[in-house]
Amino acid sequence: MMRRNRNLSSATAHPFLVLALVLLGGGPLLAQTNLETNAGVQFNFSTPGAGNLALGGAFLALAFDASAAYTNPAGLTAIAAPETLAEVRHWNYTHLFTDRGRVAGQDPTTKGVDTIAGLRDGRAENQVTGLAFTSYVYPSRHGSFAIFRHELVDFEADFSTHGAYLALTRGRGPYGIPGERDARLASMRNRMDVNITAYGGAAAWRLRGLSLGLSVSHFKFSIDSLAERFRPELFSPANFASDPLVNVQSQSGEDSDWALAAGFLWESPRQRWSVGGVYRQGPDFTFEARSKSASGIDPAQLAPFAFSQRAPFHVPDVYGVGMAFRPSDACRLAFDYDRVRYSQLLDGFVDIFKLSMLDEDISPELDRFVIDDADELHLGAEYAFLRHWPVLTVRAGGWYEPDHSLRFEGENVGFGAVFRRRDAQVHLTAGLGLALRRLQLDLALDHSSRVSVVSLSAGVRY
Amino acid sequence: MRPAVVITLLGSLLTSLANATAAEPPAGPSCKREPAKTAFTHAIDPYSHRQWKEAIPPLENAASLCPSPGGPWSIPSPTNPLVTMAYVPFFYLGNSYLGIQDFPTALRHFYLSTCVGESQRHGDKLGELSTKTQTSRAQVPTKDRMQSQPRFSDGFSAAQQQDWQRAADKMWEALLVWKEDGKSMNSYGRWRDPYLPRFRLADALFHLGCYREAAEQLDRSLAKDSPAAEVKAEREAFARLRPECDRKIREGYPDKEICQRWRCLLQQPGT
Repeated sequence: MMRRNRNLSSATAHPFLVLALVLLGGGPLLAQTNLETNAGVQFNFSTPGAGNLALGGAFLALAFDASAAYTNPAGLTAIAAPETLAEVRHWNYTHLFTDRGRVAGQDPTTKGVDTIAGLRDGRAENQVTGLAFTSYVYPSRHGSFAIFRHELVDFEADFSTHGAYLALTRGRGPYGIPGERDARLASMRNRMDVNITAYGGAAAWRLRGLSLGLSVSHFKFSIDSLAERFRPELFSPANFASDPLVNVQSQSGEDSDWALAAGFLWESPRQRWSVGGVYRQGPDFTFEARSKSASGIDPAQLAPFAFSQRAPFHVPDVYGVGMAFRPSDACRLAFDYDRVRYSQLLDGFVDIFKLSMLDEDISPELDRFVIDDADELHLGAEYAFLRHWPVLTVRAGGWYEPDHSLRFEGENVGFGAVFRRRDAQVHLTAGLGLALRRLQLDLALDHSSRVSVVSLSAGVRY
Repeated sequence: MRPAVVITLLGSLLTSLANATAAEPPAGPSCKREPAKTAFTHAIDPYSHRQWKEAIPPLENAASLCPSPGGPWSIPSPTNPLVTMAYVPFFYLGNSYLGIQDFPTALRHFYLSTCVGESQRHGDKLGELSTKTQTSRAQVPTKDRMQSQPRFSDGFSAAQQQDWQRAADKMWEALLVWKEDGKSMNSYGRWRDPYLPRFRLADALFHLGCYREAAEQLDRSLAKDSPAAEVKAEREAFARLRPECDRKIREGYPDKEICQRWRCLLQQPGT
């Protein structure tokens, strides 16, 4: 697996801005604590297969290859001969976070780096390449069966923030943690590595025109994140080499869980129309969330602390329904609607800082963190040039991903600056397929402002 | 006399009458009479109520258990012992498929009704067979290539599962809808294969042990001479199957009932 990181905020920032104040930014939640790192990263739970990806993920009513084992197991009944599918994906993640500036409604003091009105976002990119999906399907008279491995999440983030200004009148809090009566957030170095891999089996049966499918997956989860909190002078630029490191937060651990998925697929007698639906249960994990003072701090200046607690991670459940139409043997159109229950990420939400222990006057306001469920719309089309050999298929599509960022709607100005609402994303997708008698090769691209994916898959039938 | 006694006597009389009309025929060579009767009985009620989709599975079951009883055979209705139905499962299947507007399958069953002699056994009740055969033939959609795709796909899947009878049936129907052209067609899932239903019919007939019929279809298939790269697998299979058919024919093999049926079916118009 290859990984690459590029912090755009530091690479492209104007020198004047480098001197400006910094602030962490909001974004969709990853792990379920109020650590700022989680606000700057985002992933979605995309489904496997290059053909699927190129069709904008509109696949529930098609489900016509071995990736159906995960996406809609009912589609396995459409596979007549044993086949395997392997897919390699390259992800380019763009992390968006509040980097610097000053909260709205206040003029900068023009002292030092406090020169920017309004919050400014930083961007950083990480790239990950890996074997995303493999499966084997065996159809028989008694049903169709499959085994698969799917990397649901393979995510890496690595970015730093400069610390934004929160208020004119407040003094400096000693810990640099949002929620203190602090005029400026800490500057931070963040890194995070998350992986969720499913190992599953699926089975499907056809009852007249209706196919029903079921899959059982064992999910393995690992998380390793570290946030280092520095405390620069109030109006000085962040300098990780010389600023004091006051505390660190980590999220780490490995866990596993089982989850089920069930789907259906109906085809009209002439196979022009099809309707599919699925319910995919999300697994639940826990990990260790730690917060502790940096080594070497002077107890006379700052009371040392060390907290450790279990935090949950709920992969959201997904409900989806799709419809496909085939006007000719060469052409297919597909549409899916998925509801992704991102709000489940807030179940058991944890205050990693234990704010009330740091300062009894501060409430973590955990009930004021919000994530909306997402209603995703997927649309795709493909056209096969049947007179061309090998058969060449072009695909295009798109999907709408509503904002599912973790946002804060409480009183705490620090959290409010970090956990902000973000824009919805429109993904544009395209792809090519080449079909021989026993081998199919598919290439797909999925581009949006936050994540771009290149996928290459190969299917072999026996 | 008490009413209950009258009813009992009347019931006994009716049952006797019903049994008399359901006279057992001599069984055909592969007729499993009792299970066929049970299956056929299950079809009577939905069929008489024009519930075609419900009638088809038990009728197909009956047709496979006893395609050709040795003589006329009528079976009483389970709900009305005074009503009997002629055991003509292929004709009823044709009617049922006609009812759901599946014309190629209807036509195949009307042809089979003729082939297995249903009209000879129950000619008085099958007066419409000729008309319905013509109606079905006229309605077969022969102008849209895609109409043959579901049948080609179904036959392809059946062959993969070694259900050779179904594979042959569906390839025959595909051929009826759109003649073999060797061009790419979606066979199942995302896969595409050359549209060679006659070759695949021949392959199924070979596996059913109908070697003469298989050889005849192989000789008529485009797979024999097509130079196209995508037909390479079929060309190789042809080169293997055709001599094997000749060898089996030379050595001699039992003329199965199913082969007799296929011989008849393949002589019908349209194929």
